[in-house]
Amino acid sequence: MRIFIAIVFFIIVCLIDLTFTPYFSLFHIKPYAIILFLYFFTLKFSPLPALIVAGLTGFLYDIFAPDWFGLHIIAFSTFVYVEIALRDKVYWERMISLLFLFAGAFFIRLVVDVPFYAGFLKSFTSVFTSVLPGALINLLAGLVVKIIIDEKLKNAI
Amino acid sequence: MKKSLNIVYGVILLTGVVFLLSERSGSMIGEGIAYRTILPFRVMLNNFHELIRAKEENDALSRMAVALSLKLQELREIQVENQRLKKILGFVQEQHRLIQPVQVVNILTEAGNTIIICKKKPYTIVKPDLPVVGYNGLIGKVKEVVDDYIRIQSIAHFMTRVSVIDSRSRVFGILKWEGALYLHGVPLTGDVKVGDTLVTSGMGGVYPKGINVGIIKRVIINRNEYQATILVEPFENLSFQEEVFVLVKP
Repeated sequence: MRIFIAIVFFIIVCLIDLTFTPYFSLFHIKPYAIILFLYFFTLKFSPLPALIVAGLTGFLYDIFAPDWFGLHIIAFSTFVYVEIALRDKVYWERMISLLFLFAGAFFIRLVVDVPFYAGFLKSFTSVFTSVLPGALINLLAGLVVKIIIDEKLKNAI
Repeated sequence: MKKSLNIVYGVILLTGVVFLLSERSGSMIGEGIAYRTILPFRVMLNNFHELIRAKEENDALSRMAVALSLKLQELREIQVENQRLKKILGFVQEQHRLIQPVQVVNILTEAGNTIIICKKKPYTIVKPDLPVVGYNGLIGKVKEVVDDYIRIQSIAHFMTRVSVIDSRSRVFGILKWEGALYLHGVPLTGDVKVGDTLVTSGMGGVYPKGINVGIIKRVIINRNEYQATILVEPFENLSFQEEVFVLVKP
C-alpha cells in the first residue's frame, strides 16, 4: 500500500514537474524538481520502494522525452542506488551532505541533457551553461527544503 | 547492501540499457504506454497549454480591438468632416450601400470569361448592374436576376469595363479583360508603377468609388504606341469563391 501511494505521489510530482517546467525555467535551465523529491524520498523511505520509484519516474520522464529512451531510467535509478549505498556511511543530518545532492543533480543532468546537444563543442559548453547552473539551482532548492524539514523536526521535538 | 536491492537495480538498469540500445522500439513502447495510461493527463496538459495560448491570443485580440475601435472613431470623424466639406463645396454625396451576401453555386468559364452564378435569399431585392465584391476587392457586377439566382459578370469578362484610378498617383484608366486584366487609357508618360493599387474611380455610375480592384503587376512601355500596356492582378481569386457580396442601394 505504501509503495502504491508513493508511486501515485511521484507520478503526480512528475506530471507537475513536466507540465510547469517551461514556466519555471531560469535562463532556459530546467528545474528538475524531481531530483529533490528522489533525494529526500530515498533518505526517508525504505530502499526498495525508493529504487522502484526512481525507475518508474525515469520511465515516465523518458515517455515525455523519447529521443534517448532509457536515459532517465538509468540516471535516476543510479542516483538513488548510490544514495542507498551511502545511506549508512554519510551523516545525512549535516548540511554538507547536500553536496551529494549537487553531485547527483550534476550527474543526472550530465547524463540526460548532454546527448541532446549536437556536436562536441555544444555538448561541452552545455556542461557550464546548463548542467552546472542547473545542479546549483537544485542544491539551493535542496538547502531550502532541508532547512524547512529541520525546522519542522525541531518543532515536533 | 541487500542482494534483492542489487537485483532490482540490475533489472532497472538493464531495462534502461535495453531501451537505450533498441532506441526506436523503446520509444515505441514508451509511446504505446503513454498512449494507454497517461493519455488523459496529456489531454489535460494540452488543454492547459491551449488555454494559455487562447488567453494570450485573446489579450492580443483585445488590444487589437481597442486599437481598431480608436481608428474607427478617428475615421468616423474624418467621414463626417469629409461629408461636411463635400456639402460646402456642393459635391454629389456618395450614397451609402447595404452589403447583401449571396452564396456562389457555380463558376462558369466560357472562352476565358468568368461568370459566377449565385443564389440569393428569397426576400432580398437584387437588380442588374449592382456591383459585387468579395472579401478583398471587386468581383464584378450583377448581369441578370432570374428567380433566386443571380448571374454575375466578373471583371474577368470581355464585356466588363471598370473605370479605375491609381490610388497613389490618381491616374485614371479603364480596366478590360483580354485573357488577363489590362489597364487601358494610360499615356506613356502616366505615373503608374508596379505594385500600385487600383481602386474604382466611381465614374460610370455602376461601381462606387474606392473599391479595391487589383495591383499593377507589369508596365510595358512601347515607344511605337501611344499608351502603356499595363498588366493588373485582381485582388480577388475569380476562379474560386464561396460567397460574394452585392452592394445594394437602400
